[in-house]
Amino acid sequence: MAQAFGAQLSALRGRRRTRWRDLSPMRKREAKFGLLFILPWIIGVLLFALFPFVASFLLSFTKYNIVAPPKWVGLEHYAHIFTDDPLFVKSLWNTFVYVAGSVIIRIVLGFALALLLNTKVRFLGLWRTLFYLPSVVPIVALSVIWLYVLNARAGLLNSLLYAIGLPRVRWFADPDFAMLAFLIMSTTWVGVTMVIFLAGLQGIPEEYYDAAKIDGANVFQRLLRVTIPLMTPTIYLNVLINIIGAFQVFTQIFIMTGGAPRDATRTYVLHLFDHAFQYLPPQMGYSSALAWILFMIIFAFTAVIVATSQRWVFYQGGEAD
Amino acid sequence: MFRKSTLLLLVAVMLLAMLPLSAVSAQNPDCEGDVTLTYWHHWGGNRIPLMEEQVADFENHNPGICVDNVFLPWDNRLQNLLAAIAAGNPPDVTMFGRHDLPFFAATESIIPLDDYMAADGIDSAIFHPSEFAGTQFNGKTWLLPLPGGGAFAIAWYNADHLAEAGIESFPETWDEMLAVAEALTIGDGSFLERVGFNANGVTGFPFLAWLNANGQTWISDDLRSITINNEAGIETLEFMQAMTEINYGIEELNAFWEMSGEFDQGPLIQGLVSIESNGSWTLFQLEDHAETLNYDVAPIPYGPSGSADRRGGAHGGWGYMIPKNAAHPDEAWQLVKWLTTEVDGKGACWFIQQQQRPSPLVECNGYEKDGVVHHRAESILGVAALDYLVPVAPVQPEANQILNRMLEDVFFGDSSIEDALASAEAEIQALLDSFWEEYG
Repeated sequence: MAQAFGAQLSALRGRRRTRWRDLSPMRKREAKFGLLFILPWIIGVLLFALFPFVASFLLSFTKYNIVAPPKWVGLEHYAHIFTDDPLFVKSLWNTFVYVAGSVIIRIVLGFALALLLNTKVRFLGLWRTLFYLPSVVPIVALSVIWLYVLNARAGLLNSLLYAIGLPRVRWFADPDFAMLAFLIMSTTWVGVTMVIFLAGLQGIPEEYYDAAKIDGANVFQRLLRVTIPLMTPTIYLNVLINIIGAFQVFTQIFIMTGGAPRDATRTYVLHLFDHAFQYLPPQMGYSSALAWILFMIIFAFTAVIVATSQRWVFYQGGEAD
Repeated sequence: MFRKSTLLLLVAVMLLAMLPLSAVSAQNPDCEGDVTLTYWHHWGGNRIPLMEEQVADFENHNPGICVDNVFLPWDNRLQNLLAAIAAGNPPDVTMFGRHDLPFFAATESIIPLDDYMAADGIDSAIFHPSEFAGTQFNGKTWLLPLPGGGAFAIAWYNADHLAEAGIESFPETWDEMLAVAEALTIGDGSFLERVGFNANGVTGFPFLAWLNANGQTWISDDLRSITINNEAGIETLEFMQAMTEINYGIEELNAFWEMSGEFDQGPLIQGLVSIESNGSWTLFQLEDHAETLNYDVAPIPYGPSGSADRRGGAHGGWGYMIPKNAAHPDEAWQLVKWLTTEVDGKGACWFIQQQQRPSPLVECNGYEKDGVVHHRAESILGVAALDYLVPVAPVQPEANQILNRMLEDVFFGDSSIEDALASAEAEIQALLDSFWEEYG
């Protein structure tokens, strides 16, 4: 997928630009219809992405309670966030923990599952469906299921721990375990990562493995020397997607703990949400400032990964791009 | 050809785009009128058909006015209301938390009702004084109350559990309550089988409810300064901490609470607790889901600085208001009047009696359903007589978070009681100062 995307981009770069006046009436009509069909998407992006994006930037310099016009306060919110908001640091740290844990879990587990499901086993379609299925279950329903699984008294996981002689864990009541509970829950979405890895694995030509076998490489050597290097574009894509998603973790935490206990599960977006929608007066300006700081953090992470990708991402038939 | 097909396509796209904007609402198809009011409420569960009946009767009594009766979930109520007000398209009438009043009144986002009341001869004396007090801000009336008993904190208890433990009468003081809770709690010291009483589970805002029962009002009448860091506050936190320790500490207590739910899964109905402090709505839950439960009610115990004649919780209750920019404010007032003051037909009185809840209307006995007074009415009204209204702060939601954090600091042993109180008081006072600086 990552390689296909790169190829399409190169093809577009090389294509000669066609002027509108040079088009035939039929091509013009087609172009108009084409534009018309993508119009809902364009309107959607303008209204629901670009406009809020710009508006939130401007609002971050104002005090805005929704019912009265915004009042300009300059950098006051940013100064308050960095100097006088203990929950900013706490929620940011919690979010970093979640990002690190969930991205590692999803990449490692997703890759392992993809390797397993890229072999010739019986009921392959069924296994792939089963692992992917949780990803399409609405998150509210998933949250309810996980509340049962991780219930401290009668949960499935504690029953398993008890069965092997381990003490029960108060997953959502103990500050030391609450975030771990959400990391365990993050395995639910490993199917998405797995599917992308599967697509990448199927793009690796069989000849490379044949050549490695002739050279005497065993299974692990083929994995380390052929599969993983050729999968780096897909790993790169998955790391980016998962990091950006994990930084915005919100719904399951909002439903299951609301940030408790001891703010151990208070993540950045939950903190932002509280200021915007839970407190009175609503603090839309402050929330916007928090949102922009998060944007900058995600942007910085993405930039670092993109910049370092030249060193560890390898494309077939070429040097690191 | 192109233009016609383009137009059709555009219309189709617009219709598709509008689909998600449709609201879940109930409107009487037989109602004919020039005015259709949009009415938002949060009466879910078995109250939905009651509300539909009540609205239909309003339409019968007010020809020409129809009502789009919209049920909205409780969780997102503020988001929905603020978004509607910001968009200039608020409902005509909405159910509204009295604890949310100061901000909306200070910004005049809702309409004062005093002129309407005067014009229609609605006297505040038709309401119980403590109920009406919660509708006031800056000397004006911004909503009318319903249901009643917003500040009630009633102790509902399993009479069989108490009898088995040899407890003959319900505890009156905190010391007695601690002893009774310990006697009722079952477990091995680290794993709870049954909770005698959970002081953190009291309805509304737990710390403020207990502080109230300890004779202390946490905020001044002008809502400008708070006082929790004093002897009464220390006693209150000591009591709550002692009760938490009886329940094997905060972690085990919270883990135990994960087993309970709402309605038929409630801890009292499930036999998981012996005594529970909850609001008056518990009555219809018990009636619906616990026919065989031998229960009784009592006022929550009072603290060492409190007195036997002052109990109650701290919540604020509910009411109905008209947002600014409502499309039909005059007709909206007719609906508010019907929902909150009407004792005839299927008005305010009928709606509350069907649920057997306390009524804010003096003239209406909420426990009289179909001519029969509920056998627990006298004891519940006895608790109500001790009810003491605690004002809510203009920054209540954020203050609640700070108070919860204060409790956790103490329960988890991260802070002394004195330090936790001082820190919470300073934080909330700073919020209040900031609010009044902007809206004062």
